[in-house]
Amino acid sequence: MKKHRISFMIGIVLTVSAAVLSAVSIAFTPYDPESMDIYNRFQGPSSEHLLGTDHFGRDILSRIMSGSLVALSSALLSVTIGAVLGIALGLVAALSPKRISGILQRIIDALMAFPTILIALVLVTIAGKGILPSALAVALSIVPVFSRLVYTMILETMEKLYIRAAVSYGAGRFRIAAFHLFPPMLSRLVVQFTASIGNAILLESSLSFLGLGIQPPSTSLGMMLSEARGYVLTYPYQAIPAGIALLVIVLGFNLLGDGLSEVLERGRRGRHG
Amino acid sequence: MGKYIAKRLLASLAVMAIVSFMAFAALELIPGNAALIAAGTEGSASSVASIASGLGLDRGFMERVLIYYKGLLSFDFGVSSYFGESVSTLIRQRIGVTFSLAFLSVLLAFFVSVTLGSAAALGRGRFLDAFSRSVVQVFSSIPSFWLSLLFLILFSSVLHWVNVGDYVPPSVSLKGYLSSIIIPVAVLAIGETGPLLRLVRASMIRARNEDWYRIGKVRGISRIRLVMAYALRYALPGPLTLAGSELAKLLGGTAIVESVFALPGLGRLFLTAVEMRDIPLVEGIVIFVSFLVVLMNLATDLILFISNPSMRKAGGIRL
Repeated sequence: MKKHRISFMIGIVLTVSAAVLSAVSIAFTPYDPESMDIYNRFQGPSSEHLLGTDHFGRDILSRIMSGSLVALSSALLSVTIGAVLGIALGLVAALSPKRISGILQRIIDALMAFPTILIALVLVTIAGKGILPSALAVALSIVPVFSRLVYTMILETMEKLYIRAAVSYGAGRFRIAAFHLFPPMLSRLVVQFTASIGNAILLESSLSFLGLGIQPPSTSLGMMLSEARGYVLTYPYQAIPAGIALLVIVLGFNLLGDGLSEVLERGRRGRHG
Repeated sequence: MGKYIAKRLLASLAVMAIVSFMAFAALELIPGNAALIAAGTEGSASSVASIASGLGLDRGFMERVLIYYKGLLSFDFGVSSYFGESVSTLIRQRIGVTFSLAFLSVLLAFFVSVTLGSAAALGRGRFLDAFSRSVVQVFSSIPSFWLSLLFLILFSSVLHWVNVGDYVPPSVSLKGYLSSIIIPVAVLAIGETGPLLRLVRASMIRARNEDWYRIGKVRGISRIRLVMAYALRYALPGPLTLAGSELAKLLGGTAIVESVFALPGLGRLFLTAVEMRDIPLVEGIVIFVSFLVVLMNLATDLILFISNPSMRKAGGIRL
């Protein structure tokens, strides 16, 4: 059991430090992340530029800090939108009459069947490039995960005695959903939310890497790597810092999500003996 | 049994109908219409009109839906506005590369996961288990595009093993073909190993806790025989299903790797289509891939259903 606790702690440390670093970037970065200095381009790490400079001589550390802020906030936005839509869809699918629920289930299946990157690219084709379409695309890929989770959880809970009691008291569908079905699901939804953030960051950065997400002059980690790609054979160091930052953030959220679900699982087992 | 198969078939048909309609409707929403986009900024009003009638845009919505579905039934997705070739030809030329990437990487990931996962779950060493857990975490957190760049640096500019950008078709030289896709296959396989290994390990741990496993152990059946003859058969259906659906998903998910390693596959074709706002091509690829996904999932389910007596009795799995 101890090992799990260690990885949970690592997860907390990584996510908190990423959050702190990106929060700090609102008020302070060592350099202006967008100011160029052509004479000092492609520098390695030094005491002046802790992580060196990129192909325009911009400070890589400052760009990573503000890029992390973009990654975190857009992932948070996408997962929130995706979770709300997914939960709503799952609720409706589980509580509506069988025929409608069947159709909704097929729609969820259809969303699941699409590879996420494909959904994102279709959305970009429709809505154009930029941070909002890409955030929406990421959100759309989150929807089926939540709706399926909610759907199965509701089917499990519906069998419980207290729900049948509420039905026999004459409680309406909405009341049952809001007061009896939703609260016990909350902890698992929180776990799923955390676990989805890592995936959202990965997908958003992939879109930025393809040049379809956030547009310059704003920075994102995926875009930094996309720029580094042009110099990958001449200045390979360029591809390292932003990639490690991305890996660390995603790993942090994945460990955090796993740790939370472990804690939750143990709690459930404890309650039922 | 027949009832289950019929039910699954019907459900798949329903998903395909929904997917194709969603793709059609979604691309209808594009601001400005496909003809304007295809004609470009230089296009005159008459050329826009002729492209529009070529694409059938001058007809009513319902009529276009009908034409669209009639085309789908005969594998006809129209003509790409950027390449000027038929969409189904373009897809046919490129599906081979993508399929071999997806298939080989899932195969590789599956073998690595089964070996490492069984060893981690059933072996004596605590180290192996900790190792496989870390592998799962790190592999599922690495962005595939970054990994591609790292491999590019390592294998191309440090070790000089491969040259990027020279894709060799297998019909020209099998050796050249393998060396041009081995690195991208490795990148994709690493991405697939995370979820697969996690599942194999979990199912193997369940096998270990079964009574028959303990009894076998007590009766002195060797550990290797116990795993090969009993535990694997018990634990593999889940991972196999996952491998099937991951393979299907990869058919539409190789765009990044194809783009970094300059491979002429479906993913790169799709990126070009999106970049050029080539609506017929986007639509065609989306529908083609999602139909493949649905059919592959159906096939995986049916194979599992037919091969597993207990599932046949229970009337199938809910997926």
